[in-house]
Amino acid sequence: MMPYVLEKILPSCILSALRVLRSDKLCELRLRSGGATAVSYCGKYSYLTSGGISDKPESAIKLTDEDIKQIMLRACDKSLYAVNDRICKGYLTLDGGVRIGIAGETVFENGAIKTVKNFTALNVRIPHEVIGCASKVEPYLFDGLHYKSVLIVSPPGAGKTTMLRDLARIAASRAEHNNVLIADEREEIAAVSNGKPSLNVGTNSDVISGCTKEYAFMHGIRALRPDIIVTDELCGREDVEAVENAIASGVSVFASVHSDSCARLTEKRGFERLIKNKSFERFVELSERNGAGTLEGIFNQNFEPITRRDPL
Amino acid sequence: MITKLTIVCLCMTASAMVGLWNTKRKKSKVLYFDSCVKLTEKLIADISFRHENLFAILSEYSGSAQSELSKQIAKFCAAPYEKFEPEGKFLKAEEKRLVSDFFTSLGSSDAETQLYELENYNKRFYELYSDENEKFKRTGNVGLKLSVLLGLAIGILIL
Repeated sequence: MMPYVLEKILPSCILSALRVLRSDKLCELRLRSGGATAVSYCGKYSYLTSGGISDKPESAIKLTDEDIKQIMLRACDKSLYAVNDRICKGYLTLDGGVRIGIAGETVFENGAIKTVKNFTALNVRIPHEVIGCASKVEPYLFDGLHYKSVLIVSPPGAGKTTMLRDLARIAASRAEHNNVLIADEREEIAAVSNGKPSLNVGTNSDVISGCTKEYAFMHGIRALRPDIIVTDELCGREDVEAVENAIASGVSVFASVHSDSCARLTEKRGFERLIKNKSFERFVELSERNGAGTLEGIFNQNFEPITRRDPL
Repeated sequence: MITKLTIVCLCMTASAMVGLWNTKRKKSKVLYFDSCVKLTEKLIADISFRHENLFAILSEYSGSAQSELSKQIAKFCAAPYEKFEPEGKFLKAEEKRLVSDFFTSLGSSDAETQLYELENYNKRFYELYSDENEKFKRTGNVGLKLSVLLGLAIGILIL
């Protein structure tokens, strides 16, 4: 079933075209002002037409500036002012973990983005909860007493967040009673709506959402005494430092990062020290080779493989 | 004699009713713009400090104040993404346009721009409120008295 929030925000021409498609195979919707509407469907990109999907952009549904603006207004309940800080970061998270990536004209003042106006393109990402997708990885992370810190590495759209969510669910539902803290900066892991996670993140999990990782880690460790912290998309020195501090405090961290492969992690700014200090004991590499969530391998802190990749 | 007195009374009552209706109409306009000023003040406060959702602010306001504006807020909330057309029969065309622009502008920009717009609307609504209130003070009660007198005069003329 299509997330109800999409019914609320999308124009009728898009909705009627989407109804022809299977919602469980729909991952992404790319809406461009004046451009052809595209979808990521069954693992590949196609154009959305009034009758379904096509490889030809000429027959695709085209939206206007006004359509894009209306989608944004509906997405924020006609309260753009209330979500401006998120718009400045380039995204908006809706109920059910649906995330809208935003492109438009940025307004700069004193070296910082003040707002984004004249939205030109929206990338609507639809989360898919795959219960059990982390079952094959989890045994390599749990030593019978504690969880090892793990970094999930993959290019965008390969299922990092889905795997993190499932890992959180498994860890937070174990009989050993692990307290799992989800530092959900972009509200994609637990998709908290009205204070409650709308996706399954296990029994013993607490969610701090919508704030920086630095804040969530610092206050979470002080106030919530977690055994494990789960966080998505490490990016930049501040995130890496927050993770290092948490691991040094004796908390296991499940995190993810955008990268082609584990081998290229050292090229990412801020990650050199993390790798050198062997803060993460396990690395899980995912790809889209056989569709999102394909396991390329699990590696130890020396990047030595401890499992083989999924067969073709 | 009784018939004559009844006719005069009837004329006076009818005329007073007309006068009362006119006074009420003028008073409604004063109260309407007063509500608009209060609403913009609430919006400014709630957007500045709480960054509260627009519909939450509007429903909170409607719940606390039963006025013509509350009906318009309900109408706006029923179709917030369409152009708003206020109904108020007592509003002039330019006043309707101002109210329509005000509702249409709500929630369509970042906080700083929204607050700037709201400050401007607040000033405009306050000016309208002051003008209407002044007019009401000047002509409201006089109009009622004059209509009663007019009724009396008509009654006498009929006799």
